[in-house]
Amino acid sequence: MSTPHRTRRGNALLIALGATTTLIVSAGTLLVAVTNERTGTEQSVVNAQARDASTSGAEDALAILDNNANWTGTFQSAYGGPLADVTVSVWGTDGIDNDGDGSADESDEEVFVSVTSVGRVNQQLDGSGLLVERASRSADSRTEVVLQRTSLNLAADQAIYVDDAAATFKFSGTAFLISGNDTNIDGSAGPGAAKPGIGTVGDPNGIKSQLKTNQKPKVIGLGGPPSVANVGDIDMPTTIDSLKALATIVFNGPDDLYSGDLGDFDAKVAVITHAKGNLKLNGSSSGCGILIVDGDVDFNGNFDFAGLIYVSGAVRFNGGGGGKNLRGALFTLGAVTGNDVTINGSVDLRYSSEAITLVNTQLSSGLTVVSWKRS
Amino acid sequence: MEAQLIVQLLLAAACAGEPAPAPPTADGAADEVASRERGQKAPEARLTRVRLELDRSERWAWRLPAEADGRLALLTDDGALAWVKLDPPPQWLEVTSAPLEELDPARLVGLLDDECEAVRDAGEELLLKQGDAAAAALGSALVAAPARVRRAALAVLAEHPQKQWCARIRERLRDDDVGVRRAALTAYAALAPADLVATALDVLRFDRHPLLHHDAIAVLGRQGDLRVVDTLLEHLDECDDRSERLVAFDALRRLTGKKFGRDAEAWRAWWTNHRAELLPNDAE
Repeated sequence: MSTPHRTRRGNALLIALGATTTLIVSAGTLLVAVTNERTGTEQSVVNAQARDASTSGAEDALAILDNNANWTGTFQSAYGGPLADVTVSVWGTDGIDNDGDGSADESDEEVFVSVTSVGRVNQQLDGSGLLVERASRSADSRTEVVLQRTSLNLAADQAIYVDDAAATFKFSGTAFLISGNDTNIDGSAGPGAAKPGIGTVGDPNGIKSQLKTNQKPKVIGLGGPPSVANVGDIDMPTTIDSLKALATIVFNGPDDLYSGDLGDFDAKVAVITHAKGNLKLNGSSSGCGILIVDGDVDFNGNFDFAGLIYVSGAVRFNGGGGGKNLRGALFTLGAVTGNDVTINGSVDLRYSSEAITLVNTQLSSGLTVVSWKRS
Repeated sequence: MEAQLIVQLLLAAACAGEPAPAPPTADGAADEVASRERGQKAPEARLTRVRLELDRSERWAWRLPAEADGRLALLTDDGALAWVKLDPPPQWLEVTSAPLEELDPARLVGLLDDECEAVRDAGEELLLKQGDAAAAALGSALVAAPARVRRAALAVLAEHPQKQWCARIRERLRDDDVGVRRAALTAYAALAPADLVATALDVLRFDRHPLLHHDAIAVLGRQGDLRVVDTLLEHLDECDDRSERLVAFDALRRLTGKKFGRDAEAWRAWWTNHRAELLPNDAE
């Protein structure tokens, strides 16, 4: 038989039990919530680290491309703990139909460069790049950038451009040929129309008159021999300034000697070379691309070059030491008496539309970002 | 007339004068190109000699590097110029070669006034190959009546400088012919006389022909004397001729080692800020 006292005790117990249960449930709920919150926060941090790593990897790649627009390859960068695996590839050579037009690596893909950067946190890959281990908090993020090359669009209207019509030449002997007839790099006839052998701004007679009778047939091309003509003014300083910034081989001067390669003449791999002072090319040298010389240039030994040469000072092709062969075009300010353009020995300078196209195709004045996607 | 007199006075005794004090130069601005090319001894050259029948007699002759109208020029040992047809090929009785130095340079000088351009060019080419020996024989050519002879002689002397002809070369700076004056300035610069900078400045001031201005500026740019920068900047102010301006900017680059391209204002601003530092003993 229950008594009121016992009834009250029972009620109290029930209340206490209920309260305790509520408290326990509340505490559990709170604990779960806090735990979930913490888990979420930790994952957010990891996700953010992965995104930052992938972004940083892409930006590192852009920095490399800024210095060398032709760079391709892969690299891994570490940013504290997070890592980024970066791949730079050219659409034109990656074997993929990047633009989805049904064919891979066609000509319109050559101007695009792809940068893929995968940022990872707490993930371990094997040598093949497969995920082999990941911690409880791990993340990855992918940044994909597409860039488009800006072509150089350089042109030449003659084999040798002389900015100063009053320049003094020194033609020695007859073992030289300056040809405005289009010639391929291998020496065969090119497809383009003939250009002047020598072009200058103003009256070309000052240069013509410096050729001896037996030398006049050595300057061939449009309107020749001697093929020396008035051509349009080229803003050489501006052109040179814009190209200097793209150089990947730099001689700091003021006087440099060099013997070796400036690009690859045989494989037709073009580079931009910049000499900040005078440059003497001795021994056996060859190259492909663009050679810029702020001072005087001496070609003393054997020299084979495909591309464009810009010289702010004097140009001397000195006798002996082998032949000097240029396929492309030479631009000189040619502003000095004494021997602006000395041509001595076996010198073969020929306009080549193939060489100029090669330079414009392989080298670019820079890359422009056309898309940036992160996932 | 007055200008010529001033030039004459300034040039007087220049070649025999004391060497000028070393001009101030900017670091890296020294230019050795001109001196590198001076005084080089010509390599031994040989020329083909042929024995042939001419006018029913056998003669020896030098085969000149000159052809015109399908004929080849020969210089016979008795000093005559003979032509033989190249088609059919000439039948030489004997062919040999001899050192070019055995050919009297005076006879080559005589070719410089030939009516045929190819012969004139051959004469100049062979004189250049003879080198100093030929240059020593060019005195008369420097005062010869035809301008083309004087020009050719000066071209040889530019390659093979001869101090003995310094005065005559200097006189040719006042020649009536523009081409002779240009060649004279080049030959005079090759001699590297003590008064070269002063002479080039005078040419710039007093000669009226733009080509002489052009060449004088080029000479000034290669002497490494920063005192001429003022003159060059003044000239840029007054001159619109494209070639003169180009060569002036190039001269400034060579003198100073700086690269302000064709921006006259940039050159002027830089010089204003650095003149006192680079020419500490030269009041403005």
